[in-house]
Amino acid sequence: MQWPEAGTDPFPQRRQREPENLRNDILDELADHLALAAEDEMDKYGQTREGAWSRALERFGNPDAVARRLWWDAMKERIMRDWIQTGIAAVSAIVVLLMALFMVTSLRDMQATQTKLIEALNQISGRDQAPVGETLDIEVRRGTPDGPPATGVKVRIFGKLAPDSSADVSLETDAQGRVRFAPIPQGKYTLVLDDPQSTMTMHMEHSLFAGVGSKLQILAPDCTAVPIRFQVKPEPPFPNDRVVAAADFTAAWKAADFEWQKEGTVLVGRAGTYLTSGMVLGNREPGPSGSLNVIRSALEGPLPIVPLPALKIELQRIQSAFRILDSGFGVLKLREPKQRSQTIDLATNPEKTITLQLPEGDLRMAECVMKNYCVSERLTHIMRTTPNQIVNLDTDGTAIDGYLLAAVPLKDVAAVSVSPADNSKSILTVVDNRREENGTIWAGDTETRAVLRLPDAASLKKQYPADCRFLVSCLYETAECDLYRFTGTDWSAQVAATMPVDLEKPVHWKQEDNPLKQGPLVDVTDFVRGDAASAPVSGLLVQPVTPERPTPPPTPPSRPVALPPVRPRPASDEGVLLQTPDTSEQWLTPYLLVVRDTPPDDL
Amino acid sequence: MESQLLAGTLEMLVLQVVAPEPTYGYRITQQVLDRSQGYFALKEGSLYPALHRMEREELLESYWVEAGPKRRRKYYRATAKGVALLEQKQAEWRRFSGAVNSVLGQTHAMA
Repeated sequence: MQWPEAGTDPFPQRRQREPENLRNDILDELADHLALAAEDEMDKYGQTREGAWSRALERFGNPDAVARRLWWDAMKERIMRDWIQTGIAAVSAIVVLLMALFMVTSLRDMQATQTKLIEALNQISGRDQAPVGETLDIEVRRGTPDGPPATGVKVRIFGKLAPDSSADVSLETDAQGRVRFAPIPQGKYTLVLDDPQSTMTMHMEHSLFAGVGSKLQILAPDCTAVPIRFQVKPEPPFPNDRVVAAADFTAAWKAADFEWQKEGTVLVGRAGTYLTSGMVLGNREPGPSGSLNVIRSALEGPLPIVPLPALKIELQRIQSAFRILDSGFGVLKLREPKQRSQTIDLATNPEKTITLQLPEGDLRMAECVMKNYCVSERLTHIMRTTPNQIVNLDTDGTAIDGYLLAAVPLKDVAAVSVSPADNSKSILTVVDNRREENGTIWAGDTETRAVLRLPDAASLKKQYPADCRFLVSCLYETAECDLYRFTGTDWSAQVAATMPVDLEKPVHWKQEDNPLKQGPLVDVTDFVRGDAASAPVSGLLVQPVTPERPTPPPTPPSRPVALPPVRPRPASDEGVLLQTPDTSEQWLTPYLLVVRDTPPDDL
Repeated sequence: MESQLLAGTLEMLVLQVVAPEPTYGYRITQQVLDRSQGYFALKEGSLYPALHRMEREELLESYWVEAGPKRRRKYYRATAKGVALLEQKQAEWRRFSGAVNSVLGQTHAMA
């Protein structure tokens, strides 16, 4: 019996760096130990050989396990070292592989970048002469997409290309209403279109992207200029017991005859379509001192009864405008139409007519500056322009294409102006040259100041009682201003107080000397500002608030009276004194003085 | 407790037996058994791994001697490092055993 048994190997598989004698040394050492133990068993206890070996093995335990233990203790450091080395080698290999992949990828990217750089350099060097930029085609038509082309529309495109460069090109549409801008680098541009026919101007923004051209179709107002003749035809006085609000709103019209649309901003009725900002209908009750019953539209509710002359009417027609079918990146901005104005000089114009070229179809706002009713704004109405139209500036109740201008005598009309519907600037002003005092008072430099001289005291005393009190009212250019009454210290709106005017003594608010000393002097310097501090004064009204005495009928002038010469703008703040003419004409009615900041030439 | 005490003193016991003269594994087990009056019976599974470890730690060195036909015997002798370690462990044991005896209130003559 022996150990290990023949044919057995207690050790695991031989390793690469295992010492050659390790296994034999372990087996020999343990076998010698077992042999010695067996010999002692045989010597001490008289065991047989087999019994002694069995006894020795029994006392030893498991020699195979001991042998493997000894082998592992001898090899574990080597094995661990091998494992560590193998792991390090594997990690290193992976790292190297990743680095190789990264380098390969980087090299490929670098090659691609270099290729692009070379191409760019080639282009810069001029080897590629193709133009850089995109194409912008614009087509302008009138009215509808299928309408006639709009020729002669000036199209300007401008934009900033780079910190040091910009583009600004202007072209006109051809016979087909087209214009092309090319090549244009990509970027954001501003387009400005000027239509000479409708005098409309449009601004829009548009962006161009590389590789993508743009086509825009823009609709211009469909309007052709037609001659419109304005003329003044004096008519007999109209009954004063009926005052009708403007713009074809007679007593027959009621708010119920119209239908509000678009959230109460558009009024549609038999008279047409109107963009309203406050509509007033009213009837004046019979009688000289009756009050005006003002009724607003149904949506706004009734207004309290207010005394004359509070009337405020503003009607506008919805205007056509540039419409962009290919909206894309467009932003529509409308500009005001260009201003045109002329003046009918009744003294020198025997026909008392004036012809204006106005776009057909557009409704224009006509305004009438009233004198008799102390209005603070101008009454306006809407007028439709048609070819060969004749606009009669009369007051027979059927004037101006069915729209009633005003039921007041024309002689009480100081001026009539026609202006674009969205602009208060007048393009036509009819100046009643029968009013001798109807001149111009120039405003001061920084203050809208005027010095108004009333007619001489003797004339006023004949007309009015001694204790007559006068109402001095100030009119403003804008439509939003209301009547103000000077109470002696400041303006207050719609108050019953009046300003006392002593006909025997000049009235000085500034304690300035009146060199003329020909009548009460009213310095309205502090009047004209009121609350609307920046609004230019359009007129001054002085009217008696007490009943006037019966007066003889006015004596018509024997000859036309020429307009007084226009006085230049004064250099000082004194303003211009209005000289009353040395005539025997009696002032029968309150008069209105029109005060404007601009000379008549600009009207 | 016996196995734990033996495990902590096995190196010292082996060096104590090997230090005087070189010897082999079976003889080390017999001498420890005899000197401890049969108290310490070293198991081969503990002795030989200790002998090989102490050899790797250079506390012992070994050599082979022919012990018969196809039979050889591995002798171990203590190195200087092993002897120094033995003296150190003897001193530690004296302090340890003295302290234990003091706590237990006994004095025991060292064999």
